[in-house]
Amino acid sequence: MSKKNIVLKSSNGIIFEVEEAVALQSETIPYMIEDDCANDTIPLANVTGDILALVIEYCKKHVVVADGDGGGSSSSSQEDLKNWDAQFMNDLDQSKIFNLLLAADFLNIKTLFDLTCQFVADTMIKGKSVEEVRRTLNIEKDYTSEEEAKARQENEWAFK
Amino acid sequence: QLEAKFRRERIDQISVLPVELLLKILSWLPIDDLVATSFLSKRWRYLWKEVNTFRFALFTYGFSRIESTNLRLNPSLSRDLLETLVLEHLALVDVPANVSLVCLKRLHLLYVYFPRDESVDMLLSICPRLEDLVVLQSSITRAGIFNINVPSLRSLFSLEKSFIDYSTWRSLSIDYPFLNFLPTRVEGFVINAPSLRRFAIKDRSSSATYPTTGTFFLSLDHLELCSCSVEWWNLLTRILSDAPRLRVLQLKLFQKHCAQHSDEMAPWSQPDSILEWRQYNGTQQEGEAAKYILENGICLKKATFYSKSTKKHGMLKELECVAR
Repeated sequence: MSKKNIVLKSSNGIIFEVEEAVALQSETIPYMIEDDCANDTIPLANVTGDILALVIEYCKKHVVVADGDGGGSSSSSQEDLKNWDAQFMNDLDQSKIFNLLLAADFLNIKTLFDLTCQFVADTMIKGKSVEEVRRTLNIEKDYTSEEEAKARQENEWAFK
Repeated sequence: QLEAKFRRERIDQISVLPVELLLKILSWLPIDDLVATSFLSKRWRYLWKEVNTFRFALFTYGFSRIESTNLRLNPSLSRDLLETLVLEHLALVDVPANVSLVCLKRLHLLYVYFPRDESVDMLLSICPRLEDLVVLQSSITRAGIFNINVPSLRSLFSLEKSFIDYSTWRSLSIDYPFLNFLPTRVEGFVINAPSLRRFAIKDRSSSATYPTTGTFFLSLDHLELCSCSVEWWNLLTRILSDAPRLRVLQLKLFQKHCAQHSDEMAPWSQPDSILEWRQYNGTQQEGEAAKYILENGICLKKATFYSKSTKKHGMLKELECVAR
């Protein structure tokens, strides 16, 4: 069976050619093909080249595995994939992570979107104190002390 | 490093994300971390109340027997919004009688310890619109899923950790980075779930207490059976005879010495039905069972066998000969 390729173009004009199966992990791309908004090249106005490269890296990794033994691949390769996902996320800086999240949302790649959301929750918020989260995410505290005390009082029930 | 640079420049990239995305991120947090985000800044103060997924989890290795998690559903929290509830590594003793989770659609019970079977019933009884139930068990959870009386239920996954594959993991949006209990038997079965469309069992011995009467899977469309049980064949035939509309059957078996064929399979005549058999090894017993299903699945549209065996061509040739 001959494999069809799809050409994607990032917002800054970088061209990526990928196998159809790789691109179709995005639920947005099929609509763009259908809409014929591009005969040969699909322009992705919201995704820059460096982020699109990451998305494609992820999709390539995941298409191979889905291709395997009807999803029944051995537990070690599933374990590998899980480790790969963790490593993939760990290698990214915060700015890339948030841009990846936006891209996964725009391209509607559910597993990547969930992975990114969970990574943000797990590594930047979970188990940290409020001050730590503020520091990690550069969130400016705009509460007055009274306001913060009031908010804390309101939600005290969750921390007994 | 870029991260350090951002930290220096104090660029807050998360607060500017669209609300829907923030809510998705927040939906991964355990309840206490979730509520704590309201103290971050004014932007975050009420965000958590719009999250429709709550996760209660005890991240302890030893199994602390807390008296009751008491489903701390405070009045200040809009229960009408709650669609997904994930309980993880908890002991659930009491379910408050005055709580009703009227909008709850998804309930995940992940290693939840129920000291009494009634606790399961009670919990389910306060979820009148429940559609998806996931029960993940281990040797200490003990929860029998007997007596599931949830007419609205559409999907039921009963799993043991060792049988969960990665795709299921992600599709269930759950993750367990720790704890590795030895799996044990899962007992019990659905009694009243006429709307159930998808049913997955992945465990060792699900057939233990399949009730002989009173169980109907009137709407069941999709059955996934992944079993080590010697009884798998009898379980399958029983479910098939109670599931007149079954369309998709997925099998993955680990039992080399397959069961005594004590039950006859009723003809499976759903139009356009699909059989998918993973890790087919072509043992004599598997071959017999496969042939039997092919013969009785009179409206089978597609049958797929996945095999890693080097002899798979011969095995599949054999199946092609089945009279149809």
